[in-house]
Amino acid sequence: MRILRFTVNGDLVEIGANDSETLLEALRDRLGLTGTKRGCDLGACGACTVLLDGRPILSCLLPVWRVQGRVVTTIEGLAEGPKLHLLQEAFHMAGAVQCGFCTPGMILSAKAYLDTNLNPAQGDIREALAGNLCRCTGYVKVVEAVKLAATWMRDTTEREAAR
Amino acid sequence: MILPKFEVESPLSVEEAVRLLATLKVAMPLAGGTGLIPALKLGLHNPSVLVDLESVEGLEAVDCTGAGVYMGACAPLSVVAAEPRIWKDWRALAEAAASVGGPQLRNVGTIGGNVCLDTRCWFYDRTATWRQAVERCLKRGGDVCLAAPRSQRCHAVFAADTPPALIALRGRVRTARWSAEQCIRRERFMEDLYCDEGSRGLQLDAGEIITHVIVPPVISAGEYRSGYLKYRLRRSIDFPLAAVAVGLRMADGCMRDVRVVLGGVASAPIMALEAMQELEGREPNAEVAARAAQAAARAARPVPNQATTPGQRRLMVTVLTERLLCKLTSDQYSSARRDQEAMK
Amino acid sequence: MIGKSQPRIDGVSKVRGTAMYTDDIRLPGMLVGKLLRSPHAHARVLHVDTSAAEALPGVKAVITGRDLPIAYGMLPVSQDEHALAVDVVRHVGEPVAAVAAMDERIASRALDLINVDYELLPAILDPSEALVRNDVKIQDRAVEANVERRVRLVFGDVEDGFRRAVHVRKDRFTKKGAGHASLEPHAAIASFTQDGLTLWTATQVPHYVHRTLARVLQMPMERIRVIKPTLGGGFGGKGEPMPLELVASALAVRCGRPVKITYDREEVFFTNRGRHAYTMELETGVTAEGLITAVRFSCLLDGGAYGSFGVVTLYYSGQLLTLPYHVPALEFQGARVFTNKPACGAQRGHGGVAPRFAFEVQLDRIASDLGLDPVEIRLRNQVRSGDVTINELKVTSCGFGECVEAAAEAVGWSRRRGRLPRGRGVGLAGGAYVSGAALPIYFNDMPHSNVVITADRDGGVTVLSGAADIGQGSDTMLALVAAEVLSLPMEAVRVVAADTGITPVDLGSYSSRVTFMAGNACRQAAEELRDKLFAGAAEKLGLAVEDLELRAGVIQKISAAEPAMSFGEAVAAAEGAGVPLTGVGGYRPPDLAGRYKGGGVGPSPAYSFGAHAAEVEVDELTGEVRVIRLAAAHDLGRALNPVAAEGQVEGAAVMGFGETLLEIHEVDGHGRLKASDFLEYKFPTSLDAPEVESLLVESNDPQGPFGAKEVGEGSLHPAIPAIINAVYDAAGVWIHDLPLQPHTVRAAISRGGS
Ligand SMILES: Cc1cc2nc3c(=O)[nH]c(=O)nc-3n(C[C@H](O)[C@H](O)[C@H](O)COP(=O)(O)OP(=O)(O)OC[C@H]3O[C@@H](n4cnc5c(N)ncnc54)[C@H](O)[C@@H]3O)c2cc1C
Ligand code: SF4
Ligand code: FES
Ligand code: FES
Repeated sequence: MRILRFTVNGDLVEIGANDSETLLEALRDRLGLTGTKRGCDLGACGACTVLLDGRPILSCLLPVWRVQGRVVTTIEGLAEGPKLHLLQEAFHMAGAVQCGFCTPGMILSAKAYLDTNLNPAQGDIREALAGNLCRCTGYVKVVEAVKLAATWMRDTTEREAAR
Repeated sequence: MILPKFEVESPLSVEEAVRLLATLKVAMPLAGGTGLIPALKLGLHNPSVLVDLESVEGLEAVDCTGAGVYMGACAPLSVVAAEPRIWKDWRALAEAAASVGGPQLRNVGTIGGNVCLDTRCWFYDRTATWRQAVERCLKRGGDVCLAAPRSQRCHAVFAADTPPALIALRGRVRTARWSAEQCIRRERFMEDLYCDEGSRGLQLDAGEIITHVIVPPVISAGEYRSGYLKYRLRRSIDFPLAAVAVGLRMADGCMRDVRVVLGGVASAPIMALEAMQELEGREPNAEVAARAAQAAARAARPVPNQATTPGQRRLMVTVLTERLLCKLTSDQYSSARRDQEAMK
Repeated sequence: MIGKSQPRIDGVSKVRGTAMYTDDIRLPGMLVGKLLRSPHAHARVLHVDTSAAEALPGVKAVITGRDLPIAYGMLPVSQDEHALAVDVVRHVGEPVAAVAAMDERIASRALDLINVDYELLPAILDPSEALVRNDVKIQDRAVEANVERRVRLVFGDVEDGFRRAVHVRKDRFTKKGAGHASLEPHAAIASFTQDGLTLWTATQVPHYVHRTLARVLQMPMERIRVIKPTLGGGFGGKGEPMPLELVASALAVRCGRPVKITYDREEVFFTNRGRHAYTMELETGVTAEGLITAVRFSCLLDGGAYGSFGVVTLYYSGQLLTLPYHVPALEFQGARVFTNKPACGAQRGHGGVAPRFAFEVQLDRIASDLGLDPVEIRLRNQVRSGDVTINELKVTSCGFGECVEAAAEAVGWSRRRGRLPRGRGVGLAGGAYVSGAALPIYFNDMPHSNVVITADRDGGVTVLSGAADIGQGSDTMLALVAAEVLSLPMEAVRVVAADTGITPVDLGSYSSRVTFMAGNACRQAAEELRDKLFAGAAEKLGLAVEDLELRAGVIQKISAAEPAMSFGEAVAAAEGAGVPLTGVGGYRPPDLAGRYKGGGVGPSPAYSFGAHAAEVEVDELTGEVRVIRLAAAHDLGRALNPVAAEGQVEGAAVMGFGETLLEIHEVDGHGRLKASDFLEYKFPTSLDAPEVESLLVESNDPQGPFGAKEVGEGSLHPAIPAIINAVYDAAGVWIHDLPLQPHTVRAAISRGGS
């Protein structure tokens, strides 16, 4: 058992965890952040995707002590209070969510991608989501949602720049 | 699934890391963990200590300022795959790194871990329940290979993407180990790390780790060409079922210093020597490429322990080799033919 | 509101990550349960020694098959399963014992300490061997050798049909098994208190789980409550009672503490219930014009070790062949056999998928033999609204022709079929499916779907329904139907669903029955509530009921400009009668069953129709096939919520694509699954999946809620043969064996045809 301090969704947290524990276990079992899902537990589906220092990683493969002093973002950390992140809004509006089990991971992968590129080509979106399996949607509306969010986010940035 | 119980050591220096590995019982190095953690969850190893290489300072840098590429063993694959210089001059490496697993895996998986990745087999990478009913195979200390029962050796597949590319690019590794109370470093050619025996592991001494992966500079960038092609059933996530890396230099219309290296079709990355001979010193053309591709396929040794048939994997070696050679040299085909016609 | 795209009512909680799936629930004092599974394909369990496990600190209970001796099963005719093996294990991965412990680590250690003495029995892994081997009996109830059931159905004059035919083709087809691979693994939490047993479980069928728990635990139904939390995908994989539900419950009763069991991915594969592997022989006769005169179909289904839904699968395999084309005579012969593999059951498109593949590919071959265009032969043979098929299926609405034309148009059929450069091709295929079964699984006269709607005095309503939203969006559908009838905004409708302690019975999410049946029940309930509301308002306003209308949450005199009464005021007025305002609705399908044995499987109150066109690229050298796009036309009666309907079509089409090219659920020589994780079970990633264009065709079914029919399953059927037919256009070879693998494509090419 060691004490770990790290930032989750903007909050500094301190937990005790075993060395042979994954970040996924710690998030779900110790921090109650169950938005991060377990689909395969072996790194092959992306349901457990979270952002570590802004980059998408698989929490089912990450030993929890790796996050010491670092910044973790889970799906619960995207909305600002009642206001959804534009990606969340776009997934919701575009019908990119069916069972929703892949959704947290999808949105986080998409966020990391759009954070670097707001003018995505169709193929690039598919590349960015290639580590997140979805069994329900056939990916069509997921890709549309990311495109939609990119448009909204571009508009927002432009509006802010104009101010 | 749960991980077995282990302790973690977080050394700050290479010296400390290798000392820990040498002195602690059943210690294993851990880099990104994307190869090792699944194996631990499946109960394939039972280390009492993991020595965390990521805590070692200075092993994450990727430097490609001209004197080749100099990568710390813990450089994430996504960083390697994002380096414009590597795309330009050592394309095989960039293409290989970019083709590993999916995006999240590349953010965590390291070049060193990729080089040291364990071999894989349908009968081995399984849970205890799955494995239990059938006798232990060679890789688990038994004395039969379930994939190729008539064989005396283990045919688990070496399926990491970057090593074939690194070998094609004449890559080397720096290693460190603890011996006689000191840290011994040495440099090895990539190809010497591997042996075509799936259960034997890397040709490193006990407790020896890779600290850096190095690719030598290209003498004349424009003329040096390399590439990597990978065959898999899905376009993401999957390991290669067959892969080919080629590196060569065009000089006076001929191919020089050619290397053709196969991945995913044997227990080690395989230098396709016969294919290399076919190409060395020759002017590139479709016929030569086809002959070399045939020769490359003869070097493949697939057995039925992956998601497609050995025949398909062997065929893909031919196809990928031919396509890659064509991609790398077809701009020269016409000029060669022009020259020939001019001579006539 | 109907016909305009609405976001899901659970969408926000899902994008926020706050939706509670079963494994997300944590109860005070909760224990972790785990199952010990057989490593053998077939063995007698001689002795299970649990003493060392019980002695391990932190272990609270260990149970074995002895503790749950009562058999159960999805169908009344297949009560052949035990939650934990009693005496015999019949496939690798079958549960044998279970523990409840303080945490997962202790539970896992405890499993290692359980000692099971097995006596190995010969295993049958090949279905053709199962047909004849009498010395090994996997199930005592087999009718002969290891045959669970043989079916023979004959409709019309088959001999005459073949005599009339000018062209007859006979072909063999095979298809390997496939799995659902929902992203969420099965999970269940049981809690036993003085209120009785409560089970939260990831199920598509709370009602059947409820019944099965009562039966196996010998507990009265009223002492049991089954709740389905948010569910992460089903596709049939959660469509029947599962061992973990029974085991968690038994352990909770034993320990007096809540017990959670979550399967890992391999356990999900061990559980299976996916698509059967098929061997099929199909013979079809046609006239010179390509009109079908007779069909003879036989198939062998590899059922795995248990019955599951298999008998229904078997009947569907033949019964659905009479749609979407007019088949004047049909002879169907089929058998389902037991083998020592994880049991097969129902998977999206249940029963129809493999036969449809065979039929559509053969139809293209016939067209090609006769020099007919594949679109033309389909249009010539299409069934139409009002038709009754030879096996008594009544077609109430049919937009099949329109689907064929729309799909063909979308890929530029007339310009491009047969005219694309070698290696590229387009293909088309059709299909049809049920909107729920006319008969329930266990015989009874009660409604299949029930809905109760209660009204709030402030103007909202609550819909209570037993229907299970498994990701397809049935809760949103219910809200939409209620909102439409009551002219309320979506936000004013709350849906409480799939809780057997609160909600009226619904048979569950299978057979594509929910929109049709629960939708109709909901509509009826909402209309009853509206009528009561009008009655109250009319009295209060001194107007006639006929003069009133509901518009945007307001009750007013028809075409009057000034509002008369808000919804909330009307509720208050209606409740002035002294009783709470509710509306109830129930849906029971009309009596449609055919008057013959097996006539209960196939009949449905409405059939959906569809046609897909695929565009593919075939690499003739490597055998690789790339599907560039699928144009998926589907007659769903009416798109209540277009965005949701498109999502169903797209998802089904891509699932069909996966089954065509990638997915294989099969075992090795020891009965061990070749693919038991997501690396080896290869379902499409975002880079593999083709672009899908969904084309919704609305035939307005007279009995469907607002005209709606099935959409989520039937839209898988045509994808597979459309791709195979496109491969022919591209490379000139017919593929008869699924999945199409690169080496099989190459082999076909080098043979120069099928
Ligand atoms: C679903 C999935 C798909 C994958 N697909 C691919 C793929 O397509 N191609 C591919 O190549 N890989 C694939 N991988 C494997 C893995 O992600 C990569 O190979 C990755 O590069 C491994 O690096 P790592 O840093 O995570 O290694 P680790 O897991 O940390 O280590 C791997 C092994 O190397 C040893 N090791 C690590 N670093 C060193 C060192 N410096 N010196 C000595 N020994 C060391 C470890 O002890 C361990 O045995 C996949 C993995 C998963 C889970
Ligand atoms: S190749 Fe043979 S010996 Fe090696 S892991 Fe596979 S089955 Fe075992
Ligand atoms: S749960 Fe982590 S990748 Fe599947
Ligand atoms: S929405 Fe169900 S897995 Fe993606």
